Amino acid sequence: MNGNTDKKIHDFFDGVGTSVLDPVLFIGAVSRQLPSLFRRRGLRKRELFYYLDLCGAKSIPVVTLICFLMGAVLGIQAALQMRKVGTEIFVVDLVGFSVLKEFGPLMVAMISTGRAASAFAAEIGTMKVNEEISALETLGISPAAYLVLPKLLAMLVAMPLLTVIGDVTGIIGGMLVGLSVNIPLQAYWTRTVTVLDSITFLLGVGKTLVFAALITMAGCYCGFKASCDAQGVGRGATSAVVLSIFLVVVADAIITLLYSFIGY
Amino acid sequence: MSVEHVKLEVKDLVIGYGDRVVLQNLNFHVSRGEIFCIMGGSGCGKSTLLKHIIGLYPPKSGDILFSGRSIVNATPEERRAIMRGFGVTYQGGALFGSMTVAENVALPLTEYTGKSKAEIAEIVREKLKLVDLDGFGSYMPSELSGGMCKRAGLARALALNPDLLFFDEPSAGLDPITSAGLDRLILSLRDQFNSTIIVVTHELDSVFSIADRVIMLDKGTKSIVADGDPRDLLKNSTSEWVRCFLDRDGLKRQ
Ligand SMILES: Nc1ncnc2c1ncn2[C@@H]1O[C@H](COP(=O)(O)OP(=O)(O)OP(=O)(O)O)[C@@H](O)[C@H]1O
Ligand SMILES: [Mg+2]
Repeated sequence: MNGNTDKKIHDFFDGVGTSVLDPVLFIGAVSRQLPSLFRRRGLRKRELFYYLDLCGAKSIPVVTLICFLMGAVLGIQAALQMRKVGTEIFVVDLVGFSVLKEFGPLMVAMISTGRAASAFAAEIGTMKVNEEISALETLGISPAAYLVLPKLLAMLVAMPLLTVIGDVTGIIGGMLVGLSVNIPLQAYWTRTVTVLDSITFLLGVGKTLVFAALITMAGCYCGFKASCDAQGVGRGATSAVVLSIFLVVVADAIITLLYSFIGY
Repeated sequence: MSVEHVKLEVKDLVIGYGDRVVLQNLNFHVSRGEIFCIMGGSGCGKSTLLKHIIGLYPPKSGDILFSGRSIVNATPEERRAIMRGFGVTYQGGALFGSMTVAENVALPLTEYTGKSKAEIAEIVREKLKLVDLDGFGSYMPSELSGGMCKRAGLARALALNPDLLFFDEPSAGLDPITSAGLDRLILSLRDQFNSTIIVVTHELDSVFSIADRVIMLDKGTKSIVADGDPRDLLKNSTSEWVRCFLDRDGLKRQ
C-alpha cells in the first residue's frame, strides 16, 4: 500500500472527532488491521468471547423461536395453496428451500441487526463521547484493531452457527404444520432429506458471512460517525440498524442473483 | 540551546475544525525536563492545541516535531510509535468503561511489555498508590467520582513511565489538597525521571508552583500573546492583559 493511501486512512481516524468520515476509508482502515490478528496478542480472546456471548449465545432463544414460527407460518401458507391441487407433500419442499435459502439467513441477519448493530454503534459512540477513542489512539492502539476486529470475528463465527440453528428449527416448525395436513413426521423427514441437498444448505449458511461483515461494519461505522452527545449516540444506533437492514437486503438480492448463475 | 534538548517543537502551526481556524501562527518549543503550561481564557483553544500536538487531529498547516521526528508527516505506524512515548490524561479521565480501574492501568503494560501477570499487578498497585487510589483497583470507572476517574487516568498515563506527559486541566474539579498533591506529583515526576510535562491549566496557584514556562493564548488574535517564565511575565510583560491574567489571583491572595 502506498504512502498516499496510508495518509488517507490515517485521516479517517483523525476525522473521528469531526463529521467527515468516509466509509471507504473506514473499510480500508479495518482491513489494514486484519494481519494484526495473526500477531502475538493480536487476537483479543476476552473481547472475542464477550461478543460471541452477546451476539451468539444470547441470540439463540430468539432465533429458535422466530425461525420455528417462520417455518410454521410458511408451512401453513404452503399447505393452503397446495391443498387446492392435492399436492400437500410439496409443503416439505417449499418450507425446506425457503428456510435454507432465504428465511434462515435473513431472520438471523435481522435479529443480529437488532442486537449487534445497534449495540456496536451505541458502544463506540459512547466511547467517543467519553474520549475513550482518543485515549486508545494516544496509547498507540488502533481503534480499528481493538474495537472492530473482535466484533467482526465474533459475528463471522456466531451468525453461521445461529443460521444452522434457525434452519433446523424452521424445518421443525414446518414439520408440525405438516402433521395437520396429514404428512406424518417420518414421511416429512424422508422427503426433506431427499429434496434438500447440502450445497443449498451451505450456500445459505455461507451468505451469512457476508451479512455478518456488513452488519458489523455498519454498526461500528455509525458509532464512529456519531456526534458527541447523548442524542448523537441514539441517532447513531438508529442509523446502524437502518443501514444494516438496507445493506443486508441489497446484498441478499445480489447474492441470490449470483447463486442463480451457478444453478442454485 | 542544542537540538537534543528540544523535546517538542511546533512550527508555524495552524489548527482548527472544518473551515474554522481556532489558532494560527503558533511557534514554540519545549525542552527536555521542562514543565510547560498552556494558559488562556475558556474556549481559546487550549484543549484543541493539545489534541493536535498529540496527533489526534491533523493540523491545517505547519509541523509538530518530537525529538526532531514529525508526527504530521508520519505514516500511521510511525505515528503510533511516537504516540506510545506519551502519557496523556484527558479532561474527563477517559477510562475504558468496560474494564476495572486496574485493568485500565494494566492495558498499556499488557499491550507493549512482555511482563508477567504478577509484575504487571505490582506496577499497577504502585501507580495507583502514586495517585492515591490504592485499594480501588477492582472498581469499575462508573463507581468512581469524577476526580478519582481523572487520577486513575493519570495512573494509566504513567504506566509505561513515559518521558513526555500531557495533562488537560488536571486539577479542575479536585479539592485544593488533592490538587496541591498533584502539583507535587508533577514536580517529582520531573525530578525523578526528567520527564517533560505539558499542562493545560487555569489554576494560577499551580502555574506559579510548577511552571518553568507558560504560553498564553488569546482568542482575539488566535495566537500566542506571551511566552516565558510566569514570574517574569507578571512583572515585565508589555501586555496589560497578560499581567492582569496572571495577577488577578495574586491580588486575591494578598
Ligand atoms: N470537536 C469540535 N468541533 C468543532 N469545534 C470545536 C470542537 N471542540 C472545540 N471546538 C471549538 O474550538 C474552540 C476551542 O475549544 P477548546 O476546547 O480547545 O477550548 P479550551 O481553551 O480548552 O477551553 P476550556 O478552558 O473551556 O476547556 C471553541 O470555540 C470551540 O467552539
Ligand atoms: Mg479545554
